[in-house]
Amino acid sequence: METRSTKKVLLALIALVLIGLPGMLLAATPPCTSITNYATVNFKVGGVSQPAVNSNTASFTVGVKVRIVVTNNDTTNVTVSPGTTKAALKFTVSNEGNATNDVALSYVAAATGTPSPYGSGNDSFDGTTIAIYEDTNGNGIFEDGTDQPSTTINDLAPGSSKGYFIVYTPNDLTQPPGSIAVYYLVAQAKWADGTNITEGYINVTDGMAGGTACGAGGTTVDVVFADDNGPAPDTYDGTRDGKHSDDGAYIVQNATITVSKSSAVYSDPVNGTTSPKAIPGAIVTYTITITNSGNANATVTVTDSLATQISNGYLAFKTQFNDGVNSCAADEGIVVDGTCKTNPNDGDNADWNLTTANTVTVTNLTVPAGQNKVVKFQVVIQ
Amino acid sequence: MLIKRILSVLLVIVFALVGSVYAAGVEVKSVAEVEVKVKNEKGEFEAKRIEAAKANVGPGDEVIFSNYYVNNGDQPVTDVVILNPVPMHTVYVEKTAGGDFTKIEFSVDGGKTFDVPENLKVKDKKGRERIAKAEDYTHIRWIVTKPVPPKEGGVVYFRAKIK
Repeated sequence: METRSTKKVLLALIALVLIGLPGMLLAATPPCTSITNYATVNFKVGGVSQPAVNSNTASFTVGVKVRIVVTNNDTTNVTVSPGTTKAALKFTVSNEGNATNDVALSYVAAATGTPSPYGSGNDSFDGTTIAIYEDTNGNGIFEDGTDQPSTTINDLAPGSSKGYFIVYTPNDLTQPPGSIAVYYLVAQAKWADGTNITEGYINVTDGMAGGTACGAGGTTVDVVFADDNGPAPDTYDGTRDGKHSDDGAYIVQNATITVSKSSAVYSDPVNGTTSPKAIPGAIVTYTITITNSGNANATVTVTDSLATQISNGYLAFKTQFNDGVNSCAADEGIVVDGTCKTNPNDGDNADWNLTTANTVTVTNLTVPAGQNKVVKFQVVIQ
Repeated sequence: MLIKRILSVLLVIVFALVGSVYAAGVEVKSVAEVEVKVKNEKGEFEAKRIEAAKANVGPGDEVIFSNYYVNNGDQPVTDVVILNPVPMHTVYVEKTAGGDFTKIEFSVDGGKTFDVPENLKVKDKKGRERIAKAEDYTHIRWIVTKPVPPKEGGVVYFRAKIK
């Protein structure tokens, strides 16, 4: 039973692989193929069977259908963040015609205001460093170093396809989070020998159509562009012009951090916590709020130095925090996001007077997109 | 009667145009055409048939194959059966075979046996039987159901798509 089900799973997997394998479209009849038809008639005269009669052979020659199809394979806007990490828009270029073609690839930045095919806004900027890369190992994933820059496909056979990427290196990206950049990948079909294709009733050779029935000297057949009009402007890709395009879009992902600090007297030696005043011996709570208004999570380090105030003799750090909300243990003077942290140990990502003298240091503090985090500590007025 | 006479005239024209194949009694002429849309004087699009050899034919296009037959003998002929293999590189287009006074059958085994579509079965790769599809057909045959008098004939036809 187990063996059988394993076999079934294996067969299913093989079937999936076969179905999913790129470049396995049904191959079309090659250019210059002669198609012939004839009929045979049997009949009787006076009840006696007569010899069968054949018709003439009606024949015609199959022309060249040029149809390159570009498909964007992203399912959403591709995020790009300032830095050196390249961001890739994923495309497939397929030959749905019947001749082997070379293909010239180019990218076009969409005009400002062009809506993203995946929503979330309109094009508002262009990148500076953009290049087209071949999916060299054909795994559908952009791998810098493995996948190589390329703008031509040599001999794309009918029914086959190849993966390509538009790659953006965002080392000069300064756009605010949520900004959109739309790009088109445009593919232009060429003859297999790299020359330009023109429509018409022309002499097509094996060299042009890539090893077919046309012969080395050629056969005169009809050459037809059968491509659709892709989303790129008609200047770059119109209907039946031997070119096709599809679009993808980048969305800027970035954190926008703002910090605010406030202070409040918590208690004084005379009034306690009831209407306390800022008199010597009073305890003051400092509250630092880190807000992330961007669309990417941020990990921040917070430092607040009391060195000047301490050396001037104005303040002292309170080593045990208590503001009535968070009541910490001894040697816990810092509260991060509602959790008490120890002063002398930075293993908990918070310390006092350890990383830097007379300074509160909070490290590895993650502030999710659209949220804020609060750091609190207290001082005693001298 | 008039229609018949027109048909006869048309057949004569077809044979005159394409050049006939002579045989005692029955002659048959095979023609391959494509339908193209052309603008008429009123600016409307209408379908026009042109010879496939003079047209632009590529993968995915549909071709109309017609066999014109005529009895050139001086006696009526009976039991006329016209057999047409589906041309290589093409697939038969479902429900396009026709012809007056004919019973149409198909073969899925290279012309060994014939039957109507609902009775035709093929085996898939796992050996399971299924009803044959149009793309499984290898041959078409038209059984003319009435005698053909001298100087008369008819036309049988089908459409196939270029692979």
